[in-house]
Amino acid sequence: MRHKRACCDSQYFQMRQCWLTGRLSNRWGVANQPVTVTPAVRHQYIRVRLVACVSVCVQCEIETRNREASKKNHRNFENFADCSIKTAGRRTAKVAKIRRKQRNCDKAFVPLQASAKRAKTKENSVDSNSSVLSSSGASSSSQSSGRGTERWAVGAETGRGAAENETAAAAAAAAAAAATTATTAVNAGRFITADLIKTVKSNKERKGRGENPIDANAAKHLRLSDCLRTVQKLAIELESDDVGSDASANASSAVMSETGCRHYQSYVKEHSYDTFRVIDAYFAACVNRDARERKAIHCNCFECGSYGIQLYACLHCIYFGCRGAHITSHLRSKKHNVALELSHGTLYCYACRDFIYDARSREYALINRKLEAKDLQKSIGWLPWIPTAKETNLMLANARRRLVRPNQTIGLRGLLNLGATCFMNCIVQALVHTPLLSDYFMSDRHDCGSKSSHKCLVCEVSRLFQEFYSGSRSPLSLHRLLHLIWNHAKHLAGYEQQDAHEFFIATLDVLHRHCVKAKSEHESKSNSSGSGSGTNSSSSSSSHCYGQCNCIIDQIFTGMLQSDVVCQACNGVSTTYDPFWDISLDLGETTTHGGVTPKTLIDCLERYTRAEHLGSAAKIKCSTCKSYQESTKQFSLRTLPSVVSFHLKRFEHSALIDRKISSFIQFPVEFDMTPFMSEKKNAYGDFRFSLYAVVNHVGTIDTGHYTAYVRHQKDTWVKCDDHVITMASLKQVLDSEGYLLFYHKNVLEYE
Amino acid sequence: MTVSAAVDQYTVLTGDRSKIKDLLCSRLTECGWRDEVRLMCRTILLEKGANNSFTVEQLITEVTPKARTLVPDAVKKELLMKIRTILTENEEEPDEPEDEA
Repeated sequence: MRHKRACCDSQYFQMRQCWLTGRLSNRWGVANQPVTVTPAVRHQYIRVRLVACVSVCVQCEIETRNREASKKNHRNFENFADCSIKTAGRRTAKVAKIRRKQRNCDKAFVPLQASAKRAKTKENSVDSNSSVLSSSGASSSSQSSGRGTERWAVGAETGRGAAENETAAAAAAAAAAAATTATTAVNAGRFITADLIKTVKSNKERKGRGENPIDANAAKHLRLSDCLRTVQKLAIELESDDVGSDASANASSAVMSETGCRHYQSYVKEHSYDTFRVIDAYFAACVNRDARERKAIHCNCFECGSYGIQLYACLHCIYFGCRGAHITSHLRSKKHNVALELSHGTLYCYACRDFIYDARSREYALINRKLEAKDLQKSIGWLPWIPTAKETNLMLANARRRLVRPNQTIGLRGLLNLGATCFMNCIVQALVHTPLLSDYFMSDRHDCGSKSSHKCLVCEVSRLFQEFYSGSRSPLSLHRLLHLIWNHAKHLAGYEQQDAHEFFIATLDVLHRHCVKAKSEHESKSNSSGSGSGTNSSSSSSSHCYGQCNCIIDQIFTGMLQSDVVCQACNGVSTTYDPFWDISLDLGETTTHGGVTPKTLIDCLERYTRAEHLGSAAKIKCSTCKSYQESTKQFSLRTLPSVVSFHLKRFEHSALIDRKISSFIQFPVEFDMTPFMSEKKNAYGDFRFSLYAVVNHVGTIDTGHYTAYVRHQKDTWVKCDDHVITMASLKQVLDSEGYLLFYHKNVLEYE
Repeated sequence: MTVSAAVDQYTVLTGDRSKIKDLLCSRLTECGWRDEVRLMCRTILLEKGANNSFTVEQLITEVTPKARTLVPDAVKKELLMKIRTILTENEEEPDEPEDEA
């Protein structure tokens, strides 16, 4: 499963701003595995960080201001729009109650014609036996309904008396039909085979067979009102799960002034939102298993019987039809206006010949989408970004927008040298230019639970990103970052020059620790306030594979190294896995293969992954033959991180001499890591990587200076030498010595 | 019942349909298809929608064939693979829908 499969290199850096941050939990087929529901793709063409209000459009330069930017849906989706739903949910629940009452009175005289027109025959378990959404037979269109069509009988119960006989008959028919088929509910395969009775005719046939007469009362008819109750109940549950999230999203209804068209308004006046809500919950976004069953059975075109991709449901009566002639002919002939497109849940007005957008309906639809996502344990689908009132106000208050053009310098900032801190500066430059990391921070996804955010390195890096993209051109001082590192990585404290690689690893380590800390604090907070959600997320994090947490650092930088130790006596392999953040490559002469010195990065990697004879001095106890044997050891890459950093071991510290190896190592702009993977043959995925940052060291082992080349935009390289930023050519980059090489994965995969 | 109807039903029932749909949506968004089509709609509307008589149906008929060709092969292939995996997983269960369909 890929992300950005088609995002070929030409688009790669252009599109980097819309890269997905983090891995999406879009796991398939692992239903019993707990899955945190994370937001789906953040489609981030314009990214608005509200503090600095930077909006960046890299994808294209068109329509920068009103293009759909992604929702800032960091954190869990529960946080989103909770408040509006909460209030709306409560209000509507009440309203619906009243309305239902009214309707029950209004339609008390409408006979219920639940002739089980399209009875389903899946199971004869008690709960959902032969249920049709209270479809009323077209045959007995009554004087009161007068339209000669089936209606979604909302007030069906009250009409029961009038239609007692018919109901009973239909129920019997349905029950009989149900009995003819398999009784196990769970088996999906069997379910498919269960015959569908689509018409009254086939229903009668079944009845005629009368294989298994079952008490008619056992068949329970689910009516629209029941469905509505289910949906409302679920919605209230969802709402109660959302307790403890912030109350900023209140105003989606205030911002959206969409009220559909006048036809829809009059439809709503007459029928309320209940029908829409139920149809949407059962046939567009199936909120539970029952709904999916119903959809699977009933939801096909009444004209051609196809389960086509674009089905419409008439909201006035029971009718499904394909897009085009089928539904329009129905709407025309029955003079019905409003239909619901079922694959995306858009409302269509036949009178307007157009899709219509209604804020209230959208709220209901959103609840249903969330319920569906929850039920299927998937992430919620892509939704267009609708700014909340808070966001709108912030954007209005910060009217200045930024547009990133190819030749713009936004995102570049020199860094002051605070006295031999160039090792830090070049690492910071490399980190800031890591697309995935900038995605993460620019979308403001770090949420530091603790009040001591001044102690949190992640917060500091988050602030740095704001500084880098603020548009200011003056060099930046990293004293706060340095101080934090000093505090958290004591071995780097002091005023002398440090090793950039060491600093890089220490920074990742501190960032990782702080991410974990922020997360745990967040969880404990949510645990104390809300009960259900916290436990869920903690269990999912613990289920995560060994050595990896879900923090952004691990998501981006952590790979898994496999080392196979093969016993020379029995050929038994013992395999161990170790997480890694970088790959350190030897540059000196090889001892075993005739003293060859590697000349390219690929050479180094080949050497790194070559089987190495451990020699007679280092015998290892073999677990299979239970004796100390000579063995070979081979490294391979089990999983690759999104960012692979290579550390060329230019500084050689041996007992005799400390020296710097300045030999030229050729490194490619783009290369494929597949040959170095553990499972070369079976590895599914794209393992091409592109160079995006190079850290260089000039000087000797004792004194020297670090500079960095970073890829600013596609084909635009810059050289960062403390506070001086200059343009650089690719040739310059590739001709440089190279100490740390940062490669970014071209194609990201889903988890 | 035809095989495709059985497949339709099965995927709807297990919820895979909705997952496939989500996957497709996100792929199309990721690869820029969505924006291309959006842009296409915009240009068409700017050209022809001036006098407000251009309906959504007309737009759909005009855009659909072009939009179809724009869908990257990789996306199609992946979806196909996905559907295939889902169905083969199902095949291992005792009751294979296609057989009894």
